[in-house]
Amino acid sequence: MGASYVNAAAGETELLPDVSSINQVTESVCRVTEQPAPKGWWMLFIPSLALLGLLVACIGYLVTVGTGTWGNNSPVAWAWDITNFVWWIGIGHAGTLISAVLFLFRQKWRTSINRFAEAMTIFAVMCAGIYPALHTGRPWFDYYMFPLPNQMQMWPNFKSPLMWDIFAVSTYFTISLLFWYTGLIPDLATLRDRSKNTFRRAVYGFFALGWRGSNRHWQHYERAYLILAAISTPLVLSVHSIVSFDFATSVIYGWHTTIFPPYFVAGAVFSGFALVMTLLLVTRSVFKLYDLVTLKHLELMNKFILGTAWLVGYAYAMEFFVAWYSGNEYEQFVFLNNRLNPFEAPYWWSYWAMVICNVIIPQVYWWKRMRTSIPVMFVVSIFVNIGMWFERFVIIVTSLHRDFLPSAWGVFHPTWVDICMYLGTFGLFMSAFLLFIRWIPMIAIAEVKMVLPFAQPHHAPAVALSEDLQATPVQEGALAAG
Amino acid sequence: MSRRKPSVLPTSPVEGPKVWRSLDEKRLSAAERADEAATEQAVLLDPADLTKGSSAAAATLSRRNFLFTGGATGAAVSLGACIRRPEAYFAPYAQAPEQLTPGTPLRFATVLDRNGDVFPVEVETHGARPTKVEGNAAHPWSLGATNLYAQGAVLDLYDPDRLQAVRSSKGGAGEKDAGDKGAGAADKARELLKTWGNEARRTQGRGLGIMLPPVTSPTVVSLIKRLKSSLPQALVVRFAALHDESVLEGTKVAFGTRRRPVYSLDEARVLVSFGADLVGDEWAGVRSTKGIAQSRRLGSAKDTPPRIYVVESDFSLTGAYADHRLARTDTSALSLLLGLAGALERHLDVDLGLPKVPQLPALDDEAKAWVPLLAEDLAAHKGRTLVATGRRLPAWAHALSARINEALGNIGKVVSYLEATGIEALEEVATTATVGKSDIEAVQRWVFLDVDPLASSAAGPSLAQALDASGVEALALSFHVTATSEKCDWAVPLSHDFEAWGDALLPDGAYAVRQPLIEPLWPSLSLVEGLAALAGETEHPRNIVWAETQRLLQAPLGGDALWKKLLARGIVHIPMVKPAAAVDAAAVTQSVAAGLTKIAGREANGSLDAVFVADPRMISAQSANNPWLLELPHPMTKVSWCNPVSVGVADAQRLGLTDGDIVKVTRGAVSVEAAVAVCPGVAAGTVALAMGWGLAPQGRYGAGKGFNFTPLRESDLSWCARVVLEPTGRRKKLARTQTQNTMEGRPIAIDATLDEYRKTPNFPAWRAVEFSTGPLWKEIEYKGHRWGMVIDLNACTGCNTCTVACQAENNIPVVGEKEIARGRDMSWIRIDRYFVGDDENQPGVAVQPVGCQHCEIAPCENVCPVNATVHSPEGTNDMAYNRCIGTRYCMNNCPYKVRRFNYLDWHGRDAGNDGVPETKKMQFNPDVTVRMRGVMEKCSYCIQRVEAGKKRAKLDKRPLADGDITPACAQACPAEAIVFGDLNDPKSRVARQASVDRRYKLLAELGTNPRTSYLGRIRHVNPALVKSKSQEAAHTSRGLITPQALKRKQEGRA
Repeated sequence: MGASYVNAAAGETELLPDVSSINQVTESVCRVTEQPAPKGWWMLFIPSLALLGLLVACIGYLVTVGTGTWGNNSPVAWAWDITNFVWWIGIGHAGTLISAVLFLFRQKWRTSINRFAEAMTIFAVMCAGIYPALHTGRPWFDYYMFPLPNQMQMWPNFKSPLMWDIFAVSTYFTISLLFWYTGLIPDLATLRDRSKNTFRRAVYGFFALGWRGSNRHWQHYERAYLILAAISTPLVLSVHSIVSFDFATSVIYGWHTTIFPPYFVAGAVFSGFALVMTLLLVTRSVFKLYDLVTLKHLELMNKFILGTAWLVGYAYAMEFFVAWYSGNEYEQFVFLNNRLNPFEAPYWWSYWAMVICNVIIPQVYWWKRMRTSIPVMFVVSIFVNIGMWFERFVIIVTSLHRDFLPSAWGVFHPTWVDICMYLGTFGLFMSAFLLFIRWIPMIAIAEVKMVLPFAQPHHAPAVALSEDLQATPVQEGALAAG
Repeated sequence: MSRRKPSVLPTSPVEGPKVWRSLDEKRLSAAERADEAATEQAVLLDPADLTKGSSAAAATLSRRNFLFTGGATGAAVSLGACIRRPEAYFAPYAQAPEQLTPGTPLRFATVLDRNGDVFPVEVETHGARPTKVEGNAAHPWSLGATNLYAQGAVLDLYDPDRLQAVRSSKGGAGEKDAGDKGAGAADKARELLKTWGNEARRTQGRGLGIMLPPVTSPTVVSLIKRLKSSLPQALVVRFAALHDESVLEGTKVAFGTRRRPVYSLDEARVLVSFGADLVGDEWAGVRSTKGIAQSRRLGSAKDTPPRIYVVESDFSLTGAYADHRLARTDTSALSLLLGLAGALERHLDVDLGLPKVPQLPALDDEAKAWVPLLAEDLAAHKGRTLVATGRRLPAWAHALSARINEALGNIGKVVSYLEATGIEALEEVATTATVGKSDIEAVQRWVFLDVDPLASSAAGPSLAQALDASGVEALALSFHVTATSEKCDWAVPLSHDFEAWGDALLPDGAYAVRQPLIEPLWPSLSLVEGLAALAGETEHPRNIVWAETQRLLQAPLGGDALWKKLLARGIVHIPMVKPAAAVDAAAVTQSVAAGLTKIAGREANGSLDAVFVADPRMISAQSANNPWLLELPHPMTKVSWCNPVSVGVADAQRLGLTDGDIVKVTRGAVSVEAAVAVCPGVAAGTVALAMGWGLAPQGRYGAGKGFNFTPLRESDLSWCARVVLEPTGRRKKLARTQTQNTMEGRPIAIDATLDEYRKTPNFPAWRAVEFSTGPLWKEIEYKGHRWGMVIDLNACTGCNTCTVACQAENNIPVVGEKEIARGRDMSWIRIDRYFVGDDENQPGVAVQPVGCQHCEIAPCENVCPVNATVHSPEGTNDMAYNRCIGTRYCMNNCPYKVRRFNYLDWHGRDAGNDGVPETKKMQFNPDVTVRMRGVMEKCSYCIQRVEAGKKRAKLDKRPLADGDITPACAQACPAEAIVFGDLNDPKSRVARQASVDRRYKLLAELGTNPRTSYLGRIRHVNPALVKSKSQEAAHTSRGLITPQALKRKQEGRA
């Protein structure tokens, strides 16, 4: 047999059976940016923009009037602000994981979704960044946190996990952006080459950085991509580990636990995959990308969700075990009373919402029928997103609201600003995301082509490739031009 | 907005420098140019034209003008956007006043008097602004400590809603005019009073009525006597909603004269209180607290604290302080008192002259068990005990308790019955309860001096009716706009005590002079001035007081030198006639018998006893609009901004009431709607109604806050009403500063019985075990000072004075009811109150003041990203407000939750209102930063005082001595429970306290190693009353921690 790129012996099947030609890939991806936007796009974009306006208004109100416009209070000094921060940061993780880690592990099915997920990462981190920047009482002095030489005799406190956060998140954002952009260059060049007007050509041409698809370009590109993937990979672990240090290094029980770094990373991947799934399902149907994002992709992602659901479930159980094993009354109280006990704790429902959404509901994926049912996976992905939001809420609020001295206990209630700002971040995310799918190739054209059977040197019938090309492993470069 | 304006408008085009843009323009005549410029100005200056887009404006709005306008607007907007402070100028003294060094505060001694509850104070003034009240250390009734109303007094002074103008409704239209605020307004009011006095003198005073509070001022007494001699027919009435008439009447029965029991409790061994709130709002509470606390501050397990028994219906501070407390109705308390008297007769073998058949309701078993034990305990400590009766009990009970104290040999030792001073001692002055309706109706001209009977007296309605009668004129000298001042034809502002001359005399001869510390902020008259004007005396009030002082001292003691000395010290002792101490036993017997028949006649018809109690926050009516005191949580219910009806747990369950339900409290035809707070420990069958709220109808802080229960009172002498509670179905969100009532079995406010203490002197250390994993960073060595604080939980009464003192000292904002309900209170030191024991109806109480613990290994310091909270070289945990950006991470990571965040611009909104009033700004302590929004703050150990103390010592060229530095909380504490000082100085009080065996560190197991430590509370229980283990558990805070767990901890420690 010909050297098919599909290893049938290992049970692999072709990823994109319905793609019959290389041009088909280019066409179906590029036409999204070239044709007028479909109605569905507008129907999503206009409300998103409205929500973005709400966000801007809320931020204006928050900065003018003060943090007190949120519901935060004395025992619960962090509430929805940091919950949303961690949630959005977690969402971002899928992007890096899919693009970097799966790349290094040569998981070819990632190619259909990586661009998408990376974009999501960037927008999610943008949404996340709003919260730490604005949750401070005097956001105009946020720059005190940067190690800038100044005349005020001030220097940040590097012992503070918040400082680590700043470095972790900003590094993460920078690397993700670079990684995403680097991956985009060949595709931007494709768009440039297909442009029918000068303006379009100029803009895409500018961002394509003079890509010509030459052998040397490909060589540099592949090397850069690999290096960035290698840099990004530890970030998948480090960012959320460091975010978890905000909690893990503190003295508050429910926070003060060593399981947090892996637990947070698993949760982040979990929630990230869920949101990728939600968005992918919508986009796939709006832009009719059934050939490129197949049921097989979706099923694989669902397996990931099932796996990470077990990881977070394990972490939840482990917290209880450690609370029991440590013999620490305060810690036991946090878990048994604050979280579990429906008769005592004001927030018991949030804990149970988290367990049901994150651990119980994903169990449907044990059945293949469920894994491959579009409505089921849509619903489950939404539940997982809700559950993961509750996870952060549970960690932050239920640990704080009843800590050491019962005299200081209190209850947090969100205000309308809390709620509107959270909705507003969806506006920012969705607006950015919709602009992205409208103007930038949302599927990595070049990369998808690389995993097509007829991109393989030994693919028999489709194209008669010359001996020279067969001997040179850089024929992808030629394919890039479509 | 900035006062800087962009100077863009051409000033005078005619005389201005010759500027031209083109040759044509240059050729234009000056007149034409002026016209052009005028048009330009018109366009610029009349915004209406611009907004309307009038054709004229549009026509002249050239490109240049557009740019001109746009530029100016842009500049103005950007300048305005930069929040610039308005410019203000310091005016240096042309002639420096004597004594005053700019930047250095001065202290003046003066005295406060609220309805006869005298408080001698020292007031700190900065640049002639009183800013902080301290107790007068030279005065034995304060010894430097203060109470709540004294702490709040300085804010009363600056109350922006004080009555500020002499207002009258004589201008017709029925409404009061805006009033005269001018400089001569006070003189006009004085003239009016003088005219009234003169006119009254023609009729010997017939038709003149004067109502005033029962102050102790000898000057006022003399003025009243002088008035009475010239106006013998005038009606003089004293009025106070919270009074001690029953005490005075009771002592009159026992001793023949109206007397005050004055307690010296330092040496007392057994105290039995029947509803007497000795350490709380009872008369001279600070003095009593000082006494009891002294013997409760145990140096070691060898010392024995006094044993305190309390029988009461409401839950008072003394009840919380007690070793045994019995929650029973006031009637049961009387039964118990009679029972005790009977038992004592047998024990002491004396005849107390009890009526043979007690007709009071029989006691239940638990209460019955108390009788012999109390008698035994009292008899065993003869001469060092006290039986105290509260102001709610009838006169005969006070007479009986005097008789019992005599039999126990306590008189002259623990209690002295001294002649009452002031207005309340005057027989010729009527009370609102004794004055007849016809007397009231005979009055044609009323003068209300610092009283608000219409809102706070049971006689209010009939008085209001009398005022409505035609031809009746009335004048009110009033601190606020009150119900009374509104009804009167004239409302004249009353001077605050810090603006006035006056004096106060206590029964033991301690005489204090009041001197003004500041010119009256608004035209006003003081009580002395008002009375003097009526009496036709034109002397300066200072001279009137001075003359009185000289009369009291019985010699014209050489002029100014003594006077100045007296003013500087604030107190002088006047020899008093020592009254005979024997109790008239026959009179007591008669009075008891008469009293019993009265009580037995009362019916109980399934309704509840509503007892009228003092609210510790609203002792002074002048504080009705005082946001510090309004926001202060009630010591037991922890409700701020409100005085809900306190209902016990059993009654609440029976009536189906929960916290915050609004109920209709009905007595006969009268009803008041009020919210309910369920308070464990209020006696079954009793609801407690706190008085003093809802009296500032126009105060921006106090208006609409709290409930005025006065209408439920039958007469001003009645302390109890039979009421029915009906739920209305509506609810009110109570703003509580503490919502969790129990310690959850955690070792927080640690206590033990005396026996346990003797067995294990370091008992708290076994519960709050210090774990140490070793330091993460190199430990700091403190070579100089090492500040620390020790708080003795056995001394602390939980009175909250430290909280207000701290607020006054440190410019702590108030946040308003809504924000308290949200959980955003700002107090740097709070009193945690926990109920202990299993019985919800009769719990014990543990109180614990918690401020910043100044941890050695502070969790807050590590997590601040901007180093805004750091350790000082002297070991305190300091806040650099300028550096703080408000991440609130420190607040999260503080296990004690003592950090306070300015979530909003609290000063800007000032308890929910707009901005800090100018007058309130005068109270700010200039030594402490006023924090803006977005900044974290917390207890600093009063770092400003620490630095000032160090500076003083340096200037005096001497080493800093122990006691040179006292934080506001420690200084105000009447129990001296808080001790601050240098831990590096082994001789310092704090170092000695820190080595007391029962010392522990709060949450020691976390390894934060706090600087503030606590001394565990010792409950001196009567072993006979604590037979079972569960009963013992009811008396100490132990709970969830099992003996096994304790053992594990101990083993782990070994």
